[in-house]
Amino acid sequence: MTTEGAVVFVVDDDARVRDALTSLLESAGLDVVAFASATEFLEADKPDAAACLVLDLELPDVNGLELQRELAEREAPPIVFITGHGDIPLSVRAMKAGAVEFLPKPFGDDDLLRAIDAALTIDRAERLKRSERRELLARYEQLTPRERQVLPFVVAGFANKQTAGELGTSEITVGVHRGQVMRKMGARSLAELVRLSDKLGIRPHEGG
Amino acid sequence: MSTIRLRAATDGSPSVNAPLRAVVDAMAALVWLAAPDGNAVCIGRRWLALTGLTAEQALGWGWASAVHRDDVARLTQSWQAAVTSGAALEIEARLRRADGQYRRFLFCTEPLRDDSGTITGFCATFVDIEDRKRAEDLERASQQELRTIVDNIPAMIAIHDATGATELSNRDAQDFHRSSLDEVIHWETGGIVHPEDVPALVATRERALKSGEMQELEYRVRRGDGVYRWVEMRVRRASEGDRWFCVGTDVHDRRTAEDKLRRSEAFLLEVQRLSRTGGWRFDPASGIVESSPEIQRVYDVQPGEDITRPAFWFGRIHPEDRPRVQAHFEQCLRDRKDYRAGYRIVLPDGSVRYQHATGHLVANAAGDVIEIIGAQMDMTEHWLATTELERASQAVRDLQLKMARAAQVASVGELAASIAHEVNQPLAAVVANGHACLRWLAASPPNVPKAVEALERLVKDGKDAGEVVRRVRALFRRTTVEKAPLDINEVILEVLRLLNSYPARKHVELDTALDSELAAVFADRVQLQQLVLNLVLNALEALEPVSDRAKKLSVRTKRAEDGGTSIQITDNGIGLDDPQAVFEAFYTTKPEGMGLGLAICRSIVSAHDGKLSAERNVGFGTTFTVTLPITQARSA
Repeated sequence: MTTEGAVVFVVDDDARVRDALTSLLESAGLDVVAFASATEFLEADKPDAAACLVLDLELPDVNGLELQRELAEREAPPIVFITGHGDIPLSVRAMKAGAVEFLPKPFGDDDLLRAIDAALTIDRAERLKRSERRELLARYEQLTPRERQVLPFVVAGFANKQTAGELGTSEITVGVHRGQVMRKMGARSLAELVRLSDKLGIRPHEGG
Repeated sequence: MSTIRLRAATDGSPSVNAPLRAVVDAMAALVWLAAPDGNAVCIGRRWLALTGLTAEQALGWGWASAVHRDDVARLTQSWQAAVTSGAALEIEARLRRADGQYRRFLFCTEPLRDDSGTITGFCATFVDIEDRKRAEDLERASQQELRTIVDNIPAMIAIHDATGATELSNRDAQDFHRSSLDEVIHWETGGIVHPEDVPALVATRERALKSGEMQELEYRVRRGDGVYRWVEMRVRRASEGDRWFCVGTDVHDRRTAEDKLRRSEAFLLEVQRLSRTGGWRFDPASGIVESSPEIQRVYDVQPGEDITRPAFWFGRIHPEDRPRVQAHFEQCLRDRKDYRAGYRIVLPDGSVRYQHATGHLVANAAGDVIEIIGAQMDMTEHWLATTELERASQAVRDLQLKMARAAQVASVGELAASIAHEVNQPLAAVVANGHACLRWLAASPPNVPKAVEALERLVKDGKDAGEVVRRVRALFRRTTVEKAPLDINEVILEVLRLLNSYPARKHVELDTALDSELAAVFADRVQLQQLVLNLVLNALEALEPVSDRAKKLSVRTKRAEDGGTSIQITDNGIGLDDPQAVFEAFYTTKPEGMGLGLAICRSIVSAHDGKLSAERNVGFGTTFTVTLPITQARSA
């Protein structure tokens, strides 16, 4: 398991469980930050690193599932639920809502560490995807309005002449825009430009 | 006073008158007289007799023919010069005797003068110095020999006077200093002796001065090349002449090697102390044990104990472990196998420590064991930690099982969720702490403080869990019993419905024989449900390991002999060793077992004035029988 720079958030209102889990996870070489409530967790400054959340289902302020819903709306780490009730219907709901694992207390270290490992792997992939997308958006924002107009035609496979006709400009101008688009988007081929546009959700121009 | 005037005879006649001649001849010494020009004019009789020359041969310069060839030129020149200058002369030369032997003589001449001081002639005497010369030569040779001996003694030798000035030093001493030993005189301040060693040398000097006996000292002396070397010096002061005789040996290399060895031994000792590992060596031939300070420390050796004998070492071993360890040791010796054993030792103060010993047998070319070299590790701390953890883990497992059972029992009521939560919280902490503790201990290097922290939390959490159990039990006791007339068969069927297909899934054939003619019992419905459920679950658990026969469970009700109601639950499972003990709280025979359930069952039955008993079946398994008394028609 690679734990470099990764952090595990533990949210449990029971200090005994918090302390024990902190020691256990630290013994496995993980960085741990523990919170006694959902509010504490939400208000805390979190490092910009791969992370996962070990979340007790029964919290005094906000129910674990509610916190899960709330977190789903932002860029939050994957969740490993732990519970003292071992309630099956609840666990199904939690898993459906995207929890990585649902562990009834008491659980073995292997089960917990495996779940955390899986969660961190997911978060790393998510973070990578997010950073790629941010990068891509930044490139797209460099395009001039006219270049943004040209892009859907290019990815739809329109010839410069056709595009020029559609946009009411000259073939040469479209050629220049097209070159700029390729350069600014960092695409080395049309196929790559199509892929990048797809990631940005830009649909090829239809018709023609 | 008349003056003797000597003149060479020009005509060959005697030039010296007869009385003078008679005097010369009568002298015991070897004498001759010469004229002022140096020509011998009168040769004494003894001289002629000695040399065997005739007067005629010897007169004038003829005497020189008796002088050794190698000496003659030197002698005649000196003689000529003395004649010319008129000075006295003393010169050594060899004269040939008549028998041809040469002997050394001292040739002395004195001029003879008249009143006016004019030289009138010379008187020469020859003194035989051969014997004296020989003695001198001998002396010189023996001096030389002594010097050779002193120089060749393989040590630095020096003799100093009271001021420290060197009177004598041999070659080794000079070689060491690369020059004369003159600077030794300033030894107290000149830096030739290492400043740190000066006080010791001063003290040694004083001791030597007082006692007059030989003193020894190792100290550093600056060698000629400027390097300080360790020298072992022995010194004795001779009171006559107040001289100091010193013999020194350069022991620097040995001393450095010793220092190195000492350091390496000190290092080894420190390592042994830190790792709590001691070393030992056993020689089977002599039966002698050698041991390192660390093992002696661990074994708390007392003054007067003979630690060179195996009897001492085996004697320290705990009596329960001693026969096993001793037999194993002897077995290893016989089989020539390396030795390895773990055991306890009992120290003089009664405390017990845990040891791990290993021994390697060393054999000679013939295959005989010549020694066993061993290491001994004090494992007490480690063992205690492991045992503590083991105990804690066991307690956790027990608690977990009891909790599971308590939860199971409680599930009949409505407490399940909250009890489960109450119990699972500390249990989760216990298990996580246990795992954390194991991981901290397994880390390399083990993080003992963290492990101890986890263990301390674990113990506390375990107690919390125990507290929950106590509360749950108290809760059961406090539960108000609501008795009402019940159809016992209905209660049983409810429970079996609750179990649903559970027995079938466990491949248990369930057989019910319920007497429909039974009178109603006056009882608490929920408690009776708990009772039946527990007994059925208990039977199912007893059937779990059975694999060699069809698993059977029967539940029957019938009228008891005293008119009451009897419920019998029979299984052909693994059975009980002690049917009476099963009702004690937390008693369990099964690895997955209960412990709490039957105790609760018994308390429920008691609350209903009934009886609960367990009996071993004739074939396999157990029959539990609940007997409830005849219903006293009380108003509900």
